[in-house]
Amino acid sequence: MLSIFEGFILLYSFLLISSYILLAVLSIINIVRYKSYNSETEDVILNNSAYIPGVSVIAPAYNEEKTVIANVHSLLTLKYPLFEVVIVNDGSKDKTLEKLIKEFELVEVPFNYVEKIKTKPFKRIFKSKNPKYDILTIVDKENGGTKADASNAGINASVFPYFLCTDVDCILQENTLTKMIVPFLKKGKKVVAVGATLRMVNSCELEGGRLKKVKVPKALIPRFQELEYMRAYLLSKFGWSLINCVPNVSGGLGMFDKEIAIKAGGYDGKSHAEDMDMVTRMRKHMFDNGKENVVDYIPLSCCWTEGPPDRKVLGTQRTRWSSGLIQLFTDHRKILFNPKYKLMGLVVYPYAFLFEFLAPIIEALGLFVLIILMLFGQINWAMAGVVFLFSYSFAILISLLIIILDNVVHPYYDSYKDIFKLIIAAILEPFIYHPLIVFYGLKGYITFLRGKELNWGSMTRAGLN
Amino acid sequence: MINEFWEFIVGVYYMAETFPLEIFIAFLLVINNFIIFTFLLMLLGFLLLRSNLLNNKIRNVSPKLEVFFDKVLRDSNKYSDDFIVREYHELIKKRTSLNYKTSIEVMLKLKEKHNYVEENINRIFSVLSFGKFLNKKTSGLSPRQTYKVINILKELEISSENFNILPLTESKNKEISKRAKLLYLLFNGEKSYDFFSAIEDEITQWDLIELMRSFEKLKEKGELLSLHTWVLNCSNKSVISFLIKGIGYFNQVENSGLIIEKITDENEDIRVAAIEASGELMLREVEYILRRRYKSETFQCQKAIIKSIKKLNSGDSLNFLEELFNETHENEIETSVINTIYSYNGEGRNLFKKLKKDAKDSKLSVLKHVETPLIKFKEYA
Repeated sequence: MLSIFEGFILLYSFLLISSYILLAVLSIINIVRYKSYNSETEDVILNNSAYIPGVSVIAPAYNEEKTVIANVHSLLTLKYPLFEVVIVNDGSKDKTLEKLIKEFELVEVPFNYVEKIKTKPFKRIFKSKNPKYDILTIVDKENGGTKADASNAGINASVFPYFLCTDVDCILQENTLTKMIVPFLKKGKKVVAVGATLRMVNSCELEGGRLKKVKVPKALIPRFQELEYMRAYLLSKFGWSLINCVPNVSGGLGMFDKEIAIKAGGYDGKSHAEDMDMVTRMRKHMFDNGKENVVDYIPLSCCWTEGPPDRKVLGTQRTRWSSGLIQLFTDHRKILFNPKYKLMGLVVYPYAFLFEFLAPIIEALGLFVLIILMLFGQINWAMAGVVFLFSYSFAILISLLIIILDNVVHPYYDSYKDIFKLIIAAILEPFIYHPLIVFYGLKGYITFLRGKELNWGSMTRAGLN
Repeated sequence: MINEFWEFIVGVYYMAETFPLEIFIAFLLVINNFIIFTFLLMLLGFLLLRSNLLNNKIRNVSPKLEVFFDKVLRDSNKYSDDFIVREYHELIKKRTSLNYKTSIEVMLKLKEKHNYVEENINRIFSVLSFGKFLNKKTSGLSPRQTYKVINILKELEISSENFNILPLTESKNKEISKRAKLLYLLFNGEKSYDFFSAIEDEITQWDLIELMRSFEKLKEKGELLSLHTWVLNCSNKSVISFLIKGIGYFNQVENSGLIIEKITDENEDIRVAAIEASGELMLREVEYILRRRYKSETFQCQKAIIKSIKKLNSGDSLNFLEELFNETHENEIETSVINTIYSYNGEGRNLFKKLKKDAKDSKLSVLKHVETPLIKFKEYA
């Protein structure tokens, strides 16, 4: 029995390490390709074209009174010739709506709101009396319990053929829209969604709602998350995008084809992994209708979001995410290993199931077996030590490679101190951050299995200065 | 010190060799990771150092180059070739690849902001041997460099005698071939239009944006040809649809007959383009045809018909629009129809009032939406 478990772990580790190496190769090829065939002049071309499609920027807000004003101002200053900003107040209990009304001189208007996607009751729509904010639309609705429901209301109120979904606490790079629309324009109708990299805003310097200087977070938890995001986006998602196997487009920043999103039923109002769920349903809709489809990624960091400042907030966030993951595999179990869904059924879902969903379970099981073996004195300490050293050094290697790739894409950090901080985070991560992630992952699964309700995915904000 | 370290490594190796095979292999893998880690660390240090040095250099030289280029690009005739070369070399000190690259980037930035005379840019480019520098870059095998050079020439709108673009239009690399054709189109008049007959793929939205931009530049120079010949010679439906959009966008009224003919084409994209072009060209004689065809058309064409009727703004279609508004349950069409009625002023506003008096529920909601001035982008709803 023990040798079967050993064999399984050996095979699992081998596959995991091989997949990391493969993703690193794919990511490097894709970065070289992106850097070769995309230039800054694209922004100029798009900003001066009469044929550019409009984009609706949708940001749901629930109890965001601390950050909402600064962030809406920031969204309004995006550089793109044709866009609107749709903020959805999802029945906030604090003063989010009052603050918006006052700051942007809002009045209720008879907006023809058509419920293309079912949501919790919509109350009213506000527009600004000040022509400076004429591209701003505020949707006020009853609380739907999830970000997904609020995003759907935003889609219903939006007017343009593409929409960018983001969080109201996110700071977007000025040229986010011009950068993210390009794959839609170049690859045609088959592109259903495009994602880009998210980073931590925690210690960055801001000025007028814009990033002035990018800095690595000082606090340890957001710093670990920064490194984790860099790995998840640059290595995983961007690597997978070379072979059209992107598993999801982040809820914090994703651009979608509105027509396909509506036909696929929009976000699932009950889902806690609404981002992966949405991409899955859009692709499923396309496959079911015999249409080719692409989910693309750009390697640029376009969005800075506030990371969990402490363990407690991290716990809430991760429990929700992993609860969403198990919910996703329950809802879409028919896709797993289904050749009808091509690479999504044969690569994307099996990979996510094996190395994301099962990972915390296998790790916890491994730890349990280790303790039992220790109690019975059955451990080969020399072998255990060398295997540990190998896994540990490999994890650091991958993080270091990502820091380099990030620098190649765009040198966001110009100081050695910042890079040094990231390397320290890579060294400490397996001992501090990773066990927490495994713990909260398991907690999320248990929460889901116990049928416990999780609410809106908002987290305690420190607020940005 | 080095000897001691080496002895330590050898000692560890011999010790590891006494381990069982599986531990020895794992040990070698750890050593391998350590070596890669050291290499990556050095690479990271090098990259940071290099990017900091480059940024400092660029930060120092860019503002001076900006002033210099702006001066000579505005009044090129004031300065002799010798003066330009001497002053430029005084600024950059050394003829390095970085300095040339920075200079070209500065020129690109200036070109975005100011509308310099084409000959001035061409002259500076030639006098300072930028063409030779770019040619050297493309003489290697890197498609990336070739792509960038074509981009630079296209953005600066210059033809370099050192740079033969024609072979690149036949490149196997699709991106390079597309770019090269766009650049060729800017300088080679009628014969470059033949590319349209050779396009096999679909024209993407991006291609359309870039081609329209090239046409706009040709129009500014007074060199844009009438597009009807290529519509007739081309078999690619997507290219035909693009060219028809071009006829509408550049107001080539002489092609009205062709547009009217294409309104009944069997391809939906071509029909949509032709219907929209008829509105752009203000072909009032077509309004009746559009109204007659409406019911038998596809949804996309129906939207295009209402859009064109709005553009024509004749007031002749009020009855048709009223009937349409009462019959349809499609929100997009309702909004579009009411927008058109509302834009007619006079009689249109009277009809709007009448419709508002009789309307209920969703229809009333559309009417209120359209008449509210604070709501923007109604035409996109």
